Amino acid sequence: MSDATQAVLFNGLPLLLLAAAYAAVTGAVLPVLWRDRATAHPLDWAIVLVFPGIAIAAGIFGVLVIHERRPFGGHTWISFAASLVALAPVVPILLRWRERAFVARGVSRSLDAEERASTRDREIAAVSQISAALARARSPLEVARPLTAHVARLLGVGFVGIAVVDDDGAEAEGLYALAHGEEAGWWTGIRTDLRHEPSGIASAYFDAAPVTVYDVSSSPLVSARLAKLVGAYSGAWVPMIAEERVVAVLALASTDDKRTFANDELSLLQAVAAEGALALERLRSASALSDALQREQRAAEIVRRVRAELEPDDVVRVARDELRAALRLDAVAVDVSGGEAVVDARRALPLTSDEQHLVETVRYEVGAAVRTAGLLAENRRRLAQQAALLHAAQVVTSELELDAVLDRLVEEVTKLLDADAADCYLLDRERNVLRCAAVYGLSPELVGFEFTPEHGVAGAAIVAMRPVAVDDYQTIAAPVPNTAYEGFSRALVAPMVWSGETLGVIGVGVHNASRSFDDRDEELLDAFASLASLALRNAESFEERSRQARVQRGFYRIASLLGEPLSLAEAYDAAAQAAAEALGADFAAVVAQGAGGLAVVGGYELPPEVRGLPIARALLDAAEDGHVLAAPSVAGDERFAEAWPDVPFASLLAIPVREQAGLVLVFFSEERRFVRDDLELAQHLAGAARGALERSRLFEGERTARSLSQQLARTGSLLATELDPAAVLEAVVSEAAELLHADAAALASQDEDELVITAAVGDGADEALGVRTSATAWPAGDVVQSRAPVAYDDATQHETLAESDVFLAAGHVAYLGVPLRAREGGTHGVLSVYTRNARAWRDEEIEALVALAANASVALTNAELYQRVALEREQSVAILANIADGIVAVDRDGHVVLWNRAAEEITGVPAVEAIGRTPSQVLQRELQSELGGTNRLVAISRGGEDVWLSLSEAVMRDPSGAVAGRIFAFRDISAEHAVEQMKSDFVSTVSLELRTPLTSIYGFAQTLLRDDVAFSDIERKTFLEFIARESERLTTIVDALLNAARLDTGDLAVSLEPTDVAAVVADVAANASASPNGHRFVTEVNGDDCRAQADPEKLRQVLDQLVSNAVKYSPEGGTVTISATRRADAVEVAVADEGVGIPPSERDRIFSKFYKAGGGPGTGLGLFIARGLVREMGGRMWVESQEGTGSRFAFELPPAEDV
Amino acid sequence: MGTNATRVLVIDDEAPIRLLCRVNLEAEGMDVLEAADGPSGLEKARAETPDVVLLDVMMPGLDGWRVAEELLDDPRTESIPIVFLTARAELRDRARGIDLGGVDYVTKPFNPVELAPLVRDLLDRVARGERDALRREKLTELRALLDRE
Repeated sequence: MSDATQAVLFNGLPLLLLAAAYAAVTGAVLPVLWRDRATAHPLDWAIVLVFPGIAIAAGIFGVLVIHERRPFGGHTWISFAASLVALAPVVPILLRWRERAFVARGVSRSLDAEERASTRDREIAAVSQISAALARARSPLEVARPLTAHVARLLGVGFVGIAVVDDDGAEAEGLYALAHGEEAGWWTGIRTDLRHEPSGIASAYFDAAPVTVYDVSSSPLVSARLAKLVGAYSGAWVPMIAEERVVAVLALASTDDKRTFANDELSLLQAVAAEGALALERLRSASALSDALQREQRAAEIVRRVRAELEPDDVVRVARDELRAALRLDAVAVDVSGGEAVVDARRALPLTSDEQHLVETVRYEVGAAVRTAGLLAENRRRLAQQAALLHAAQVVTSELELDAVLDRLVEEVTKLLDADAADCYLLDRERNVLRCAAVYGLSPELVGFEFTPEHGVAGAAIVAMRPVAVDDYQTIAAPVPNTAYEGFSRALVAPMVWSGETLGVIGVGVHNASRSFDDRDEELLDAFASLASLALRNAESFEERSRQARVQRGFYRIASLLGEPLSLAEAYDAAAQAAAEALGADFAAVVAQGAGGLAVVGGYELPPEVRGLPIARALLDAAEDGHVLAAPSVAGDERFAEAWPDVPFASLLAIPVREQAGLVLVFFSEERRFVRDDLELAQHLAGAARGALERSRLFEGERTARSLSQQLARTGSLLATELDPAAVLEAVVSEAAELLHADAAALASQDEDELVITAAVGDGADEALGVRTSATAWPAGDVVQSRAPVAYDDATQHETLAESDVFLAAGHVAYLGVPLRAREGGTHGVLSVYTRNARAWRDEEIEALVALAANASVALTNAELYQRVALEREQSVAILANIADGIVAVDRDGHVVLWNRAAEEITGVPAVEAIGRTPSQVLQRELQSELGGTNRLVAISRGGEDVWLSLSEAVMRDPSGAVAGRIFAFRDISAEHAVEQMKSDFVSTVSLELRTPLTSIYGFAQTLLRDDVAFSDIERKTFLEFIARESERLTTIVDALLNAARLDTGDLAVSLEPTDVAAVVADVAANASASPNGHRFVTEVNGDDCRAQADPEKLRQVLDQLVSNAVKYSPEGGTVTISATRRADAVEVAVADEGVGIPPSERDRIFSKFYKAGGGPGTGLGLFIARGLVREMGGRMWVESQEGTGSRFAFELPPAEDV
Repeated sequence: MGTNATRVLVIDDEAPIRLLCRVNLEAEGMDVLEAADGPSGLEKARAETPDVVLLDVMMPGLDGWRVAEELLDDPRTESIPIVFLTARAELRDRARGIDLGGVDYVTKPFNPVELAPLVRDLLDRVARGERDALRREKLTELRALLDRE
């Protein structure tokens, strides 16, 4: 591009554009300025004309460049940059086209703004100045003072005042004013009627905008009065507005000349007024709040005080006083009589609304408080009534006794109703009378007074069935006919009703006429009457129950009597006690028919003087007729006047017990009316007591009988064991006296035609013993004659009796005698008992004495019998003791009762050991046998030896046939028995010994005689040899028997001669050795001269026997030693074996006749004969033996006598 | 000796008596055994079981009563009839013998010739089962005799 183009494009055209832009701005701004050219500031013109200037210049330079095609100043790009820079200021103006006017009027506007800012600042300064002062203000005056001073200074006016508008906008009141720098005192409190008096204040108030008056004097808007006071020329009134309300008006006035008030002055005033209004409003609000608070406090205080009072009068008084004080009232009246409270408050100044409000509040409170107090009072009254009723109920119901209940009733009702007196009447429907039961505050004598229910208030109350009050008691139509009720002015009576039934009335009365009975009293009495009827019913129930309980106790007592085995006396006492308890009597007695008529037989708490009273005629009649006798007042009772002039009881009830023809008497210390219940109870009691007494009487009889029988049994056993007749007599009289509790007793035995007193006890017993009376004399004689008991209750009534009886003569009075019957049916005496006092002998007593007499008869008979038996027994014992036979008696049990001397001797047992034991225990052998019999042979052992008894036995039987005992009689027949035994043994031995050889002899002879058998010669010879040998044996036996017999009889003859014993020994030994017996035989001969004075044959025989025995009783191969020894004065021969030996017990017996060792064959005579032979030869034989070793039989013989 | 022959055991301490019995019984065709005392007699009886035992009573040592008791107590010998053959002639002894169990009681002295028929007759009855009846007869007889005494 060329420089030219460049200059055109980048230099010329931008300059043209620049010119155009500035021209455009000029066109826009200039018209505006033109329009406001009047007020336009020259600087505005200058600024606007800059734009056409630049536009023209730029245009020119642009045209030139284009034209010259040369850059301006030779520098394209610099020009271009300058153009762009120059274009920059118009761009924003073009862009903000609408606001182009500001460009035109910029200076003017800034000047205006500056001016406005200056006014504003003044206002703000003024306002801030005043507001600081106002902020510190504590009262309207403190607001008013700176405000007025400030305004006066700001505007330079002579008068500034503030008038406060009241709340309802009717008046304005001067608050504070400043005139010529001084406080205008008159302004304060000055009032102006906003509605009816034209004034600037009113105008400003109603317009709520500032009002200015150039010429006060000619303006109708201004209050001439005030204007004159102020001396105003021109004036301005600015409303002080707060919370959209004109609270006051700021009034300004020029006092020196007329003037106008500029707008900004008004604005300033308005601003200041607004601040002042705010301050005033603030203060007013605070004041109002404080007032309200104070008012509320005051109201609250009053309310509190009013409420603190409970009595309506006090409420009214407090309200009145408080209101008066609070509101500084001249007069105040509070009236609550109409139900609603009415307050009339008066004072010179009218009451403000707040005060009215307070009054209203108090009025309301008074109304409420009075109502509350009324309710409270009512409540208290009711509470008091309830409490009184409750108390009365407690008091009344705490009593169960009817009388006590009634007394408490009247007392409580008097207190309850604050009366002077009270009474209670019970209605007796049967008699239709009211009977006074209790009084309080009235004479006690009134109790018991009766009148018919037509009289008095009581009658009206009963008819009305509700409480009836009488205001003028003395004038009622039918007064109660009793002077006790005079002087009462008013009365209130209520019926006591229980489940529809009128029990009576309860009433109260007052003397004082000022005390009247109202509904509440009636109500209270009614309630109390209900309570009373309940208590009364309870008490009656209790009385009834008590009575029933008492009756039941009586019955139980009687029942327990029936159950207990009481004696008659106890039963009487118990019946009296039961009657007294059942009837509530003080004491009681039982009278019954006795020997001397009716007499007191039992009692309960019975005073002695009453016990001693005579039985009145009326009571005798009652007992006889069996009717109940009631004496409510004994003192005034003719029936008892004569018998009982002065007695310690006032009334009595006599209940007949017919069975007994007796009475139960119950006594009361006070007079007493007997009601039907009492009589009924008495009838029950009579029946029950009758049963009890009857039972006791039976029991008594039974007990007496038992006692008597027990005593009789005891006496019987006593008498049965007594065996001495004299002692029996003593015992009988003692027991008789004791049995019948008699003072004396005697037993008279019959002796021919007389009675002799053989035993006696008691007074006069010593003198009476041995006294004899005729068996026909009284009274014992009567007993003998009649053979029956004779009894006199009182012998003194029979004069002659005493003469014939020593005990009656001694002063005893009652007599009972019974016969002592002898076994054979006769009478052998009389048993008599006596007492010092008259008494009735009861049947059982008589029977007991009869029984005793029977016992006595038996005992006497027994004793006599025993005496006889004892004598006989003595005799028997003497006989038995001296009898030769042993006599042993055993009783039915087999025990020995008799063991005589002979028995002792025979048995060797002394009687003392035998008595009481059985014979088998004593003798180790039973004596009795089933068969009994006589002369039985019985062996017993006596010290090791057998004793043979010939025993006879007799059985004693009692009458029933049973064995009563046995008697054994025995004698010692041991000697006879021994002989017999010996004989028997002899016979049997002989028989045996003879039979054996005989058998052989006879047998072989018979055999040989047999012809059916052919015996050989040898056989025959053998048979015959046997016959011969056995015949020899037979001979030997017979010899032995003969020898034995001779030894027994002493007929054995020995021929003694000097014999060489040694030779015999040798010979015997040789013979023994010769026979084939398997033994070895040894002989010993000691000493030189063994010759003895002996029978050689007999000596040989003895030796043969001993050797034979040695062989027989010692084993085969044994040695038999035969020795002969010369002793000093004898020759001893001995045969010793090595056999079995002989036990010691056998050693004596082996020498007995027929004794055989081991039961073998033989006669048993060998040793007997040997010893006998030795003895015959003047020597002796003995045996020495040791069992198992052997025996040694020895004998010695006298030495040979040399001739 | 035939096997059917009656076998008789004679127990007696007296040799002549034993011989008597033997001679007379053998003469009647019986076999005879002998014993001289109780113990040997028991032994023989148990060993030989004879048909009958003739038993003496009065023997030294073991007497006839004891022997009879033992024989009757022993099952081997209890059935053997026992005939007492003794000098004890008293009734109470005879009664005792029968009481003990013996079937007969022969008192010494006796006729030996009658012995064999007695034994035979006895055995016949025993064979017929009349052993107890036999004893009852004897006892009755003895009691009658005792009562008479």
